[in-house]
Amino acid sequence: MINIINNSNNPYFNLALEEYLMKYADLNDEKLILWQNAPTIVIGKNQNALEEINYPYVKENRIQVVRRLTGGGAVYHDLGNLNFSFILNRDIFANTDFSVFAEPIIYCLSTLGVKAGFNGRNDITVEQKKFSGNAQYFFKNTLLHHGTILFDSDLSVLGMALKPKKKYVSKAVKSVQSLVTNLKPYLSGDMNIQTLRQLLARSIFAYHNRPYREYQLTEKDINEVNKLVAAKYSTWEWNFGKSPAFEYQKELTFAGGSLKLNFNIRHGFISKCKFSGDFFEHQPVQELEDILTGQQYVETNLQSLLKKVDVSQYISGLTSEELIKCLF
Amino acid sequence: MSEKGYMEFVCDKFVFRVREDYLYHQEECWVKQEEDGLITVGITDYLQMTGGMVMVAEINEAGSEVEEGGELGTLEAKKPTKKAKTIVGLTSPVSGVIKEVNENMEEDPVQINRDPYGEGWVCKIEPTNWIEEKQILMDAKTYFPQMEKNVKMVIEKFKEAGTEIKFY
Repeated sequence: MINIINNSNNPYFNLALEEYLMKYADLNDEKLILWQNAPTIVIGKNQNALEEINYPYVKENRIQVVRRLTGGGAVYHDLGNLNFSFILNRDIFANTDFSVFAEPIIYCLSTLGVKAGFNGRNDITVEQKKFSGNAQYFFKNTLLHHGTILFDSDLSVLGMALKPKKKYVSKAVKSVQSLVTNLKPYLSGDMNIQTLRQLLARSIFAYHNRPYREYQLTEKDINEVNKLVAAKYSTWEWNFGKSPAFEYQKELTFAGGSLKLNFNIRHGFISKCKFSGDFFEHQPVQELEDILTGQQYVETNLQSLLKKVDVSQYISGLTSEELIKCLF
Repeated sequence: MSEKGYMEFVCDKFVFRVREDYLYHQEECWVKQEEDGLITVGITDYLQMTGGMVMVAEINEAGSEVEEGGELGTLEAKKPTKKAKTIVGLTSPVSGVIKEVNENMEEDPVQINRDPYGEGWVCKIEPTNWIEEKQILMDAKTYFPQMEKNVKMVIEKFKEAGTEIKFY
């Protein structure tokens, strides 16, 4: 096993590195990476980015959005969060239990006086509160297993950057926060995330009974990863366009009445668009629906498109700016 | 061909089937040559039973090129042993151009589990190197003992771990 040293905080690079090491790098050893992202929402392989994120908040706070190779739900990363990735050879995956990967972490924390446990699903917890979520991806005989460790993440941002699920609408932040915790309050005061990172690396090697070895990425490695960043991980197509079909609904009241809009979005394009509600039309609103149908569902695109359209002709009393604001 | 059309390996209450008239790729997918020259591709019973219940099937779009041994798409599946979900990459058994993706999978991905050799087919590929690549595929008789060996290995692992033997 080798510890791949990765000090990048660029989420596109960090996720591309996993794929590179899994599929393209010529390194036979089993690999561990410990890494951190600048503020980022990392969405699951089969999620709709725009359905998961609170878009205005994410944009305003310059939080990046990137899709990962593994399944599951959206998570928020910042520099208070430490990620670990294992890239291993596995012949069979039927019973590659998540707990195998949790054990060395639980062991390491126990040496620091923290009693953590595995919840039997995919979380590592302390006092029944989750501080680590895990996910896996198999391709051929290679397994990628990665997870997060909340050390001192800003949990309030976490609640705001992710869109609350409908059933939690009234108390979204509370529900999310009551389930997760940072580790820092459970550790001695002088512990910082870099020390934890080093201790964790040593513990994982010790747990697996392997001599500790580090690997520095070569210039060639970095070039190859950057190619993958440019071709995939930094692209709109991968992060937003890859979303399976989904619906977007919004209701608003404005000077001229009330409006309900309903969009179907497929592969990042508006495939269906419907305006209804209580408002006055100078021209049939269907014409506005036709203008938007088939357009790429990207804010800058719809902004420049609607600048050229007199929206109030279709929906009396509504400006293009007001319409744009409620499209995301 | 037998009456059923399948070879079967029975283990406890689980039955692993291998369809006799298909060809098989090392990485757990099957191949059927259609009369129009297209190649229908699907996943093996072994892969769906060990991978678990398919929640999402995400296959590369029609028109895209694939290489033998490359990734054709992914399944997001609920593991039989745990509630945890895993992404499993599907390997393309041939090189060529994807002509058609089984559209029903968007609505009903579990049909891959229900009928992996029939309704649960994944896509149709127009092959570009069929004569050569056909050589590395296995017939059912050759694939069956490989599957049997793998199933036994998985069962061994369950026993070692002392957990209940579970497949989808």
